[in-house]
Amino acid sequence: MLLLLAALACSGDPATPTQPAEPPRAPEAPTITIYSGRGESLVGPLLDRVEAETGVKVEVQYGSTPELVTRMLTEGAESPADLIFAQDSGSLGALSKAGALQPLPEELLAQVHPTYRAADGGWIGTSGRLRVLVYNTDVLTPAELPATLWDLSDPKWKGKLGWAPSNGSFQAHVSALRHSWGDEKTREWLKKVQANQPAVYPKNSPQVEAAGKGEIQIGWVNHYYLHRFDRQSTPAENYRFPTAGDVGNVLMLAGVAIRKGTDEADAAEKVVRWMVSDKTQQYFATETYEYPTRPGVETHPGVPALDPAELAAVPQSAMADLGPTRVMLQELGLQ
Amino acid sequence: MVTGRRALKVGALVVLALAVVPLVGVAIAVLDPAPDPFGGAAPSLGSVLAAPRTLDLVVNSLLLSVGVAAGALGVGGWLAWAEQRLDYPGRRLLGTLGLLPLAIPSYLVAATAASALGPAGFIGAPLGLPRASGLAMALGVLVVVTAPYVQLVVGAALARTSAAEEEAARTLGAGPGRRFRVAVLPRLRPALAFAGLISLLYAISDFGAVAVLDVPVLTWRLYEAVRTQSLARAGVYGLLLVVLTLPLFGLSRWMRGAGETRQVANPRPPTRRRPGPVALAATLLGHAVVIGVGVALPLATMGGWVADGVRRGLPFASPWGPLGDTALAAALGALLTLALAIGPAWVAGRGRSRLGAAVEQGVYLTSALPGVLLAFGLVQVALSLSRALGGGALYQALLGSGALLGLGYGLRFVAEVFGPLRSAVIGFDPRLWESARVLGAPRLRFAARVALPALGPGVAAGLLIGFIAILKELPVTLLLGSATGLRTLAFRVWDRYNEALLHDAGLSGLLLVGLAAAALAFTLRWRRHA
Repeated sequence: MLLLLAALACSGDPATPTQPAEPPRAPEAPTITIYSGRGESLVGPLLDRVEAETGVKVEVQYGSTPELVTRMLTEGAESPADLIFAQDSGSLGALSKAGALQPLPEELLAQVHPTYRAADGGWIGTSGRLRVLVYNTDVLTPAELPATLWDLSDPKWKGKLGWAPSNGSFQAHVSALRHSWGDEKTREWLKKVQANQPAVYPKNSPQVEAAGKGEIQIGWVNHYYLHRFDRQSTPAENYRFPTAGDVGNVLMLAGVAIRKGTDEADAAEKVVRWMVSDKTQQYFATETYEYPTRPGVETHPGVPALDPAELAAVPQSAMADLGPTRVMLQELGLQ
Repeated sequence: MVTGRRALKVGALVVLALAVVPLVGVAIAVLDPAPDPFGGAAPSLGSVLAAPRTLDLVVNSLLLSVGVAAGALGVGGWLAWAEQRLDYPGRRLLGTLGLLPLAIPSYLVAATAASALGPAGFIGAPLGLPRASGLAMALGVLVVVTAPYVQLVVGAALARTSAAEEEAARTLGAGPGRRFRVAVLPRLRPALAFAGLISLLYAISDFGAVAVLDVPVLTWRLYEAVRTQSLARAGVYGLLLVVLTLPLFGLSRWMRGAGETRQVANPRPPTRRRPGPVALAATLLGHAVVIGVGVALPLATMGGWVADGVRRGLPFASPWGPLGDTALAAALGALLTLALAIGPAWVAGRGRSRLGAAVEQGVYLTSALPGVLLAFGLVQVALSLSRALGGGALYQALLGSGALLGLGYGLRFVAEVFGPLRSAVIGFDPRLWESARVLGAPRLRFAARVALPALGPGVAAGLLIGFIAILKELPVTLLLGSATGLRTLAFRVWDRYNEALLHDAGLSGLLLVGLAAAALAFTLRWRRHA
């Protein structure tokens, strides 16, 4: 059927050079291709609205962000991608380093908080997931929770924790720890938490479920999964570390960038603008429960607001430095 | 017709050549790893092999597959025995229901079992079940999924045995245990060995169950390495998978050959006997586990997810697009697989030539390789070709057009389509063609009136089998399909399940199972007619 459609589309466009000059037709809506490392479930409904709201048609190809980065690098100038929408903006650094990104205009970059954009102007953050502890509210109060991430290594948490070492956000956060603490201290912390015998989960959401059911008291997760659950029947709450700048408070930033050499630079930029516009930022806040990057956009009523000053000073690129992290996790038997 | 035969021969050789491509891709990834796009140096073969975790992966893969084979032989073997030799109420119905797990992909069985049987699940919570480790859970799930295959193979072998030998043993004074050992077991041994090896191969290649349950085994870690673009590591895992799979494959082919030579002169089915209470309990328990975990639990759990979504007023994504994409991908994929299988089926079905034997082995070997390995190998070859030729357009053309996806499906399932096709070719009498020529029938008319009706059933069976297999397929779809823009039901289930949007995952899962069950029912009914 696709082939049929393609054939129809081709036959509907007769060779123009042989025809006499016609009055110029109204320009057709430009079409751009987006490589999306963000899942269809999260951003599919949003990307469906691009055409109606910007006049730009989009075709989306989903994949993991690293896979899409490799594809763009391999395809080079022939890449169909005009825009790349990354789950972890740090991995866009590889594209930027290879000179594959078109720097965004200053005035566009300035629309988000400085923490939420690339220093070299290659990409702009669109929304963030905060790393938090999810805890069971029937057995713990916030006052009893650790004041810093380091304190999770306290033996008093033995048998009460959960984590997901094979999960991408876990590994990104450990990469952030390596950046802040250095490898030795990170390794020491991992070993101490390991000694607390945390229950191992494949990913975030089962930890939230387990915390809600009291199977564990504390899980180490991204904040937004909790809000997907039926809050009435889930006695669990998110907790961020009260110490400003604590390395536990890390925001994993999704971001977008334009491929250098795209034929549709204007349309692509239009879509980037739309992604950091008030309306779209509101979508991230209310529909995916994420943190908007544009100042002044309110978070979902159930999600406490975030001041960028609370966050650890870790560049997004540090979170994409996963190679040595995996070696460390392997050595500790965690991966 | 001579040119036609030559074309078929060439077609068979092309398939053999294509079958080598994924292995070349794995070799490239090991010998000449691409630079890590995220700046890290590619780890060496030695360092990946030496990592303690790598050995764990190999051990886990072996444990899982041996455990699954043993479990599936126990459950499936017993059920086959019960079906053939015992008389108990509901035998036929339970036998048919027991085949339904064939329509449900392992990732759905695993996801629903983990949810329902976990400490917080609707069955696990009231029973106070502990949290099972991923490995134990995957073992149970894969036993349930492979037991029907064992039941089919062993059941067929049992149906071929004759009562005469057992009766002879009895008149010579042998007790039931000795009769089984002396008269039945030798006839069953090849079938048991073959069924066990099929389960072993299935478990070592499985992606869905181990992915959902996050079991540290080679296939799942290979996928994760590709997803994060640690390609050198992926290469080593791929190599280890090939090294583990090849001997198993060799054994299974050898066993299969051994099984086919034993025939009884005048088979006569033994009379069924009424089972004692223990045997009856074991039989009903076996049925309950296979049908319960393999069919009832997935359907009930997914239904529950959907109902929960409706109750909470959660938005459902429209499933019609994915349904259409699935039907399209599976139909095109099945046609392509058929096209790949025709040449080999013809060459292998016409007489016992050396080429025929080689082609047949090649076909079965290709489909014995894990899907995640095939997909990874194909992408690697495309990547190196594009880098060597400096053609980004080539890479885009191979991946974006769906060429690699089609090839991936084709290689993964060529053996399943090849089977019925070869049988059809064997059954096709070449003298028909000679008669038609003598009678002066034009070639086309011969094809339409004689050849097609004769080969038709085999072709249709092959297409349906390919259709169902592709429908349920996950790793090739994930690794090669995303660049095509096709979004199938399998893709959506995976996406939604990973984001904990269970209501949407459940809806897509139910549709997928419905489509597969419809195609399966069609196949079974239609086979009975043929």
